[in-house]
Amino acid sequence: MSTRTNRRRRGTRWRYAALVATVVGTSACSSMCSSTTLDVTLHGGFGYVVDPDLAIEAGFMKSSATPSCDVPQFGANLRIDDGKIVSPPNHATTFPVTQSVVTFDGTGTSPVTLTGVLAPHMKSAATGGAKPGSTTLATLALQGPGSGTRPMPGTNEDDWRDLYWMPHTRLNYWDDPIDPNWPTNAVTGRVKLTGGVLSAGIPSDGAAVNGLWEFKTTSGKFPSYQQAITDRLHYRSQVSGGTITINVMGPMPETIVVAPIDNRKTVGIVIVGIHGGDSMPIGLNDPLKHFCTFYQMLKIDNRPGADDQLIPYFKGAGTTSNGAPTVPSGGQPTPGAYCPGDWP
Amino acid sequence: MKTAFSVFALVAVAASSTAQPQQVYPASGPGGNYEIVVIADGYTSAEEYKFTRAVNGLILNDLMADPFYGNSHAFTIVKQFNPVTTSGQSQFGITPNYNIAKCYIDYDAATTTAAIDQVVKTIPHHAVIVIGNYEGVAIGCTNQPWTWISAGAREVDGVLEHEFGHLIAGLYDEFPLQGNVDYPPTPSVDDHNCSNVFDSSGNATPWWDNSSLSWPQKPTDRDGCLYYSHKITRPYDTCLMYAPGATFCYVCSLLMSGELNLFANEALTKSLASPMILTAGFVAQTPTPRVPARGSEQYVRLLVQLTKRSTDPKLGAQLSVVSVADVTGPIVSRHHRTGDYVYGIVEGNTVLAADVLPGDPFQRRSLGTAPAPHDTANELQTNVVVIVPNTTRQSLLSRSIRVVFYRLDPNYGRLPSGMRADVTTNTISELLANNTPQFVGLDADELKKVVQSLPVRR
Repeated sequence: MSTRTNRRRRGTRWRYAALVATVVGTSACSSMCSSTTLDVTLHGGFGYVVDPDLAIEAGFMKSSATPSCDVPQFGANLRIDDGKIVSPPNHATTFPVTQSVVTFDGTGTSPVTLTGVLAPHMKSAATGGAKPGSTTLATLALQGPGSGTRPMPGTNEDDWRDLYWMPHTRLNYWDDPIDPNWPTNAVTGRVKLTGGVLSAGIPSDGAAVNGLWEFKTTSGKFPSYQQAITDRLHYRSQVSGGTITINVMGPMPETIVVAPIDNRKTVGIVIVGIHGGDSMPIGLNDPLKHFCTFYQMLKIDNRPGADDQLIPYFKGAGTTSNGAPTVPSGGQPTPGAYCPGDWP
Repeated sequence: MKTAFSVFALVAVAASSTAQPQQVYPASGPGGNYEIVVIADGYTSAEEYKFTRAVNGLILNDLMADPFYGNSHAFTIVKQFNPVTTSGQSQFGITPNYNIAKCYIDYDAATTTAAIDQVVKTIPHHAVIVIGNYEGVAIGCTNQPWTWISAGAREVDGVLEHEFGHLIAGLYDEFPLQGNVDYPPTPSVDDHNCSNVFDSSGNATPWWDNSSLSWPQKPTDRDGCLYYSHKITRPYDTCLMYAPGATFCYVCSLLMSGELNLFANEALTKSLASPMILTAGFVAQTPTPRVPARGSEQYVRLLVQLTKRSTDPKLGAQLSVVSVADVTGPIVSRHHRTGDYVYGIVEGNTVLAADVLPGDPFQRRSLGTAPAPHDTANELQTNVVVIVPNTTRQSLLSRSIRVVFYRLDPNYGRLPSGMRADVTTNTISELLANNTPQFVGLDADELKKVVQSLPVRR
């Protein structure tokens, strides 16, 4: 009886000790182990690269001024969308990063988790593992999540989470390597992302929400395919501490510290890539010519000629099952300065 | 009656707690007299942070971060958070359709306008921005007197800066639309930033090339303006009214500066363009007496629905009054010739006030991912605000005040400089004396009837 009582007392003491430890631990963590959510939106015609370490880089494309590819780039801007800059004081909330390499402190070195059906294939090829031939990957490139050609219903941000909705033309050229010097040859600057999760988001252009595009070559070298496309990606990561530190390495290096403004403990950043050029809006069956710019990411010797480049053509609401003419039920897109990016 | 019921049904969507208007620009102290009200649509109480984020992004960090607007001393911006019970549910009956040809949103013009008006009518304002709770996508629509824009539009630049070029100075779009080649011979245009005037040799002779005007950079008279590629010119190669990534050209800067100067709490002596310009054109406009301190005058605000018979009539329109409200705030007479539609407030034989409606109030504009190009439509119906100064709703009942609308010929009031004369009370007196046919009017008895019959809402 007494033994049982002692045991109960010892058990009670252990439970008290555990409770105290938990309380102390929680208390210490609330001040020292706090974290901030970093939410980055990438918006515009960036050239996306999966590095061998599975970090993701979004390159700000250089202008192209050849007869077959005339795409003037206006640059990339970083905007603090959610949060308050605490250092340096009185810093502009929007500033150019066109010629800079942007990184975020505290996001770690682990791979970025890619959302969607193409993620395993992108990773496999990036790490030099199983290297499927271009035909295999071209076949994969035809198949959207659930074998669909567009997200359904498509009017919510989450409907577009699968990275499949970001164009991925290089899956059709997987045997043609990216230029190893792409950071200097093809882009003016870039943002490097590690850890965290990358997903896609709803397109900024209203007509693109309900629109379909056909990727095809004028030479007919590769099979054509139709899909909806977006120009926006989201990167989300938890970072230790109460602020987010942005490193901008370039002509005018600087470090910018941003704090959340409320108990959501979130800092939102938008990086936009802006280009000029084509007449808008895009007519039915017309090409989004600016796509040629992404072929700068390939080694020049392997770069396909203009006729062999997969370029998206606007198909309105898509082709009906009986082949009837397509109808632009969502109107014609005017992506303006914000073309979609690509996984080169 | 149907509209009234529908508005009631929409308002019922709103949660009970509607906050008071909160000034967001300037951050402290009084601002200028061009007042913008920014209201929420589709946000629950728990989503107020999203509305705040959108206001910061669209208004403070984009529109007012533009030196042109930020340096004008002309603006006061207030926001009003009016939550709904279900996220995404519009209290104004607005639903995105994502179709540029349909202004990106579905709405019933009369019901939606009345519902928005009910929220803002007692707040002094010149523009209403409704922010819809839609992230990511950049869509919007101007159906006067309001502009709806998605929260996601804050990710793109310049859309509101361009739109306020229309709303403030009545600037034309300069870009061509697909399939529009030659501008038709009529209607002739030679004002603002477009001209289809050519000499017998086919050389452009727009008003801005008048020898009495000087510009920091000589206009280059580029082919293409007002949705057509040829047979109409714009002043310079590029402009915020022409393409994304640009600022206002010198001609547009001059017109915008002149108009903003009416509202500024510090007088502008130079155009807001960079480099600053002081031109004959700028000083030619009537010097404006500085406006009194904000909130010091009483007036009656009428929201009036105008319906025209065809796409291009000079007269024979119909008018109905949507709402009447007593307002206390600054009164700024908009006498610069920013548009062809003008109205006068007349008591007996005395013209009490004259105002110009900027641009074409019947034009509906779709706002997308770039300031330009965008889609437009010529509507047969619109809503405009009429200010009856220095009076109250009650005192209107014992007075004999009427409202007259005119649609002026584009060349009316052309000055030797090529610019067009201001529209003043004398202008309206002259039009009345000459028995110039009115576009539409509201006589004193009708005005008294609506003042008595429309419900008072505060």
